[in-house]
Amino acid sequence: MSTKYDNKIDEIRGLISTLLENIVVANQISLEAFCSHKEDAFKEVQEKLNNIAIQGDIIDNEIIKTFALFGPEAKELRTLVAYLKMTNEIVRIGEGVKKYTRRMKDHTSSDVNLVPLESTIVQLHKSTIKALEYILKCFQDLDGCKIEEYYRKVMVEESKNDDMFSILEKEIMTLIIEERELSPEYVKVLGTLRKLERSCDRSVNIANLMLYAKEGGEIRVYS
Amino acid sequence: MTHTQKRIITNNIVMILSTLSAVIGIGFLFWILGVLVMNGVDALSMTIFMEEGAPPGYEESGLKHALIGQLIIVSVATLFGVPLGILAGTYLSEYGQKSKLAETIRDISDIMMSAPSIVIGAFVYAIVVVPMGHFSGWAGSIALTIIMLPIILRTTDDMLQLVPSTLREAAFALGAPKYKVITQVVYRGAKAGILTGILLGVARVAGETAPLLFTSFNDNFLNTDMMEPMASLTVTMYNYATSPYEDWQRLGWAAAFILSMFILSLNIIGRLLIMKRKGK
Amino acid sequence: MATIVDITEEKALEVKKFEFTYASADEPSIKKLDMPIAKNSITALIGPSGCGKTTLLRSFNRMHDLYPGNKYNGEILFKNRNILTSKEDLINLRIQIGMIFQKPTAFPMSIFDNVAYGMKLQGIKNKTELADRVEKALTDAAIWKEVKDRLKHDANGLSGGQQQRLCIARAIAVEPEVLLFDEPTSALDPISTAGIEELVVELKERVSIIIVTHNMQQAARVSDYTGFMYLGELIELGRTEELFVTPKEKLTEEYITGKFG
Repeated sequence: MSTKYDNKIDEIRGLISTLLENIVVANQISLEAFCSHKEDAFKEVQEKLNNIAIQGDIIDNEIIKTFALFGPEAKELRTLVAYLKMTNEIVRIGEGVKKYTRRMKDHTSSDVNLVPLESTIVQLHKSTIKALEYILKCFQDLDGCKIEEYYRKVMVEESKNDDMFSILEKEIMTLIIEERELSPEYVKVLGTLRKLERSCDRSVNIANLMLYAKEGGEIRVYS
Repeated sequence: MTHTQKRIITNNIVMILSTLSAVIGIGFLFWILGVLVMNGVDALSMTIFMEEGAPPGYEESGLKHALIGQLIIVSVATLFGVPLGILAGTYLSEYGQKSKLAETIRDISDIMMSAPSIVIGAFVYAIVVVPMGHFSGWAGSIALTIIMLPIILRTTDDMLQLVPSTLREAAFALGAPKYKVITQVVYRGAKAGILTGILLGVARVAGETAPLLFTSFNDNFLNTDMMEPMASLTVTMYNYATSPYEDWQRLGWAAAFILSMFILSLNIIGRLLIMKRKGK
Repeated sequence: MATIVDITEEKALEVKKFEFTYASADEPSIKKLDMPIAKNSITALIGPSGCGKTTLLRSFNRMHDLYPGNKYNGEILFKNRNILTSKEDLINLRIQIGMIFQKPTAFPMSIFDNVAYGMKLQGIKNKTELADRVEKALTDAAIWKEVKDRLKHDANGLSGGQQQRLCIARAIAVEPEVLLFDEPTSALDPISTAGIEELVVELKERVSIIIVTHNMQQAARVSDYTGFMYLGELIELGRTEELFVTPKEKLTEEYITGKFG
């Protein structure tokens, strides 16, 4: 299409890129905060992710405008639709990171003993971040990146992620049996950790969408 | 016989009839040309162009007077007729357009085109020759101008109208005044068409005899004074051909041949111009 | 009453209570129309056939004056004056407000003479100045490279898309302030169309542009403001990216979604 259309697409990509980058960085800070037990680092994460919902809306509106003004077809149509759904997933991931960080802050100041879980939690968190980083890397160089390769990498991280989460489930069960009065707290911890696991699933969804944009066919995001 | 068969046969009959008619028409043309060539080429020689008219029997007898006279009369007529015709045609196409006056002028012009040329000759006799008291080259040229005018007017009008109106609008849109739009853009666009009109107009009047009979009359000698009667090829040809003298008759054939070749070439050039335009 | 958005830019033209009646008509074709035209922007006029968009466009450079009997009413303000008065110098007006037509209208002369025509009309005779400005105009119209070696050739040898670019070069050579485009690509193939659209977007840096198009998608792609007209009235004027997403008038919505016209 024309340069006006290309400019618009670049603008949208830029916005999505920035949003994704913010979330990745916030996620890294969150992990840092957990490892170093710094309370204010948790606050930093909140600040960084303050208005991701609004940013998501802005991106959505730009995409709608682009549909209305340019009426794209074929690959351009799929790409735009993919971006629309990706934005949704990205904002959800961001919300997830926010909630995780807030709840983790509460857990560290509560009575639960997270020390036996620490190393596994760190690994879980790291793999979630890794999957996101792969997505970001691919997105920043959309024309040059080999999507199938990154898709595989993300899948690998996701399966690692699932394994970590299973281990954590077992470990938490063990802790619940040992300290039965704290069981509701421990269940909450599991719920908190599930947010990381879901974020990783969403990264797979995003990778699926990028594949759809490139190759076409039908959307099959939630596989 | 089925409907289709009937149709095919009718088709073929019509085709044969029309082809035959065309062949007959063309046949006549070639027949005329053939006779002209045969009789005219015979009489052609350098003396024709060098000698003036002389009494029958003379050796040094030619058509120089008639050729020069014809040239002068037709040229003067063209000099008057072409600018008048083009300007009138321009008025009709660019200013009058579909107005009542313009349509009336067009109708009158069409009527004049089919007026018998001898009638026009008689008219000029009445308004020019009688007041002057004698025949003259001017009267002949005036008569030819009147015959030429409607042809050039009509062609110019038609050719200018063929120029698309968006072309004019584009010129106006750049800030051109009307006269410049006409001269710089419209004329250029209709150039070939107008030129063809001029050629056809000249070809038409170059072959007129009747109007010259009452106006320039004729002269057997070379005369370049337009106030006096003037020789013309057509009238000379008429006189020589109907005379009982053999050498004069031969000169008549030569005159006929020269005249035909002249008009034929004008027509061919005119049509070549049209083809060249279309080819672009 | 029309729904007209507030124009943030300066106004190149302003139409006020404008009415236009054709010579042979009983009723006006354009009825009490108000419309601002933003400077250095592209305003598109869309609407079904007969809505008056071309009639309005041709009023901006008083093209209707070429045909006797047409009547203007109301005002069109350009540079603080009403250009509809009889005192208006039409030749000067048309130098400042140029027009590109639907069918490419190359004059029957060389490419160079075509582009130089407007300048020569203004009295510019200096050969160097003419040559420089012709080159600049052809470059700005993105056709210099294709024709620089055949400037003396007849313009009719160019293809449709090239001729239209030539007409654009011819119009911008006189450095107008406003350019009126009357369905400039409807006679062209899709590739030439895309080229002309890109050119129009580039041109808005220097000129204010009004483009009439029956192709809604073209209006959406190219323009900053879009005006929807219907039966001689302006129904809505809005920023293009808002109008095509959320039109304010029901009629606009129906037209855009293809319910009529």
